[in-house]
Amino acid sequence: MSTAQNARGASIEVQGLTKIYKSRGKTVTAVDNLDLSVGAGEFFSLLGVNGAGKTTTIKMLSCLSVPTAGTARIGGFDIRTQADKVRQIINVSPQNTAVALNLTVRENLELTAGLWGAAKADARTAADRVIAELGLGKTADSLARTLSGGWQRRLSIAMALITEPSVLFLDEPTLGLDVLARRELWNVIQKLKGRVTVILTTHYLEEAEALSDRIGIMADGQLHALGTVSELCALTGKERFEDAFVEIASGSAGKGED
Amino acid sequence: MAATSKRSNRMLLFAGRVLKEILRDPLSFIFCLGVPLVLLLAMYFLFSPTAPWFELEFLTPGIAVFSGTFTMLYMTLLVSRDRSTWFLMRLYTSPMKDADFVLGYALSGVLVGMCQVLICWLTAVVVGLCAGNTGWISWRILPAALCILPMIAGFVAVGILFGSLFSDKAAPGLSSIVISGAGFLSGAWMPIETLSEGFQSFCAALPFYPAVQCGRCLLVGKNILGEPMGMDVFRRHFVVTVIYAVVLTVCAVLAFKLKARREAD
Ligand SMILES: Nc1ncnc2c1ncn2[C@@H]1O[C@H](COP(=O)(O)OP(=O)(O)OP(=O)(O)O)[C@@H](O)[C@H]1O
Ligand SMILES: [Mg+2]
Repeated sequence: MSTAQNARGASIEVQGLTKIYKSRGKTVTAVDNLDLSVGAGEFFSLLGVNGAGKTTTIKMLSCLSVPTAGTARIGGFDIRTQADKVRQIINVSPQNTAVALNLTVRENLELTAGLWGAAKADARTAADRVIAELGLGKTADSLARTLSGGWQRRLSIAMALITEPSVLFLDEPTLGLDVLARRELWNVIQKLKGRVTVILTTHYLEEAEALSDRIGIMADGQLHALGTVSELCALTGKERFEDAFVEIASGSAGKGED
Repeated sequence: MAATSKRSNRMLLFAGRVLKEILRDPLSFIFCLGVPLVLLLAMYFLFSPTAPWFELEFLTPGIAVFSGTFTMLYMTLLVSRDRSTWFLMRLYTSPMKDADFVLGYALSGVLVGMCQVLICWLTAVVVGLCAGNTGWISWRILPAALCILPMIAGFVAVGILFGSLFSDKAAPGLSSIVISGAGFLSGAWMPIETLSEGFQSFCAALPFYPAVQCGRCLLVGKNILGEPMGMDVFRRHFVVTVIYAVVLTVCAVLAFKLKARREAD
């Protein structure tokens, strides 16, 4: 294995990460004092019911949103004080499809690569690579606005993969993808294993089961359980992971509801 | 050094993307080309027999400045719409700086605005040749056309400012206030020189009228009443437009930094 940071991803150390939203007199603790440590090259899934705080966690880790308290280090860089460094080694596939609608698939990809620092020729090579990997060949020269929702989604994911980040955040990547596309994406993601640190959120439990090294289950902004699939099953005394998930994720249901 | 070259690279890439968006949107052609050309032709043919300030040598610098307000409106729409998309949100996770965003928008906006200005002048020349009104046509057109660059930069900055602060519902309304204001207070088709002294000073303190006078000054060296305007008059007016351009650009960067970028929170 090479010693280059890129070749094995970067580690993530989260300490007391908290996000409190205040709007119209109401306060919502979206993420509550989260402690977590993810190793370099680890494939980590963050699960939880709607509103558990997964996206908020990813937004803070990707320096989009400023934590109310606590912090995190990614590849040794502090997300609060060294955001510029962090941004250079991460990329995010946001929960919502994020593409430039008036650009073609290829233009979207090359632009993304360039904005993350690739020279023109490298950007083109990288675009060829992800176009092949995600089967975007037929649509490469179509404007993004003319693609179906699922194909826009693939492009959005491709734009996260193209920069070869050390840490890749995938927020519900397979949302809206057909079965074939989902399988293809799994294959692509599988190839990243060990090379890139991946934080995945998903509501498809079989996806998390098949891909993750470890899984964290969040509820009401807190991490309720952490471990491998078999550890989580053992913890709850369930055979199927889905049952274990339901037990953990609903254990606190109603606790922080308003 | 490496850092600066990377940085300008990001800014140019983003500007290229904005330019593509503009060129692929039919609305931009209507706003940025259609409106000013129609105004120039209509005003010249309808009103030039009635008053001297509708002659091409006075009208064209005015319409060129007024056209810039449509670049402003277009930039307002572009930035406010961008803000509501996840694409811009995604770029916030990239190593781009706030200045890369604003200068990228500004560069493409100024390019479009200056193309519009040049097309405006080209049309005027063609009309002048066809109508046999050629006395004003000379090399002086070039400096007269280019000297409104600071005004165009100012309009683009206001577009980015409004686009960063307001939604794509509210921003066009505000822009149209500036458009009507600029229409009257620029003296593009209103004879400011014949109005009260107080009103003249008021117009001279805003950037619109000075920008128009700069063009007239460099083209024919006199105002609509036929009074000569020398380089001292040009300098006085030009400085005003430059100051506005700088101040408005700073405001645009601040608005983007403090409002647009914080929306991702
Ligand atoms: N900008 C915001 N302002 C106010 N509250 C917010 C904001 N963003 C998120 N929240 C609240 O924070 C909580 C966590 O939201 P978050 O989007 O992180 O959940 P999630 O786990 O990603 O859910 P989902 O599975 O539905 O995507 C929710 O209660 C949500 O309403
Ligand atoms: Mg979410």
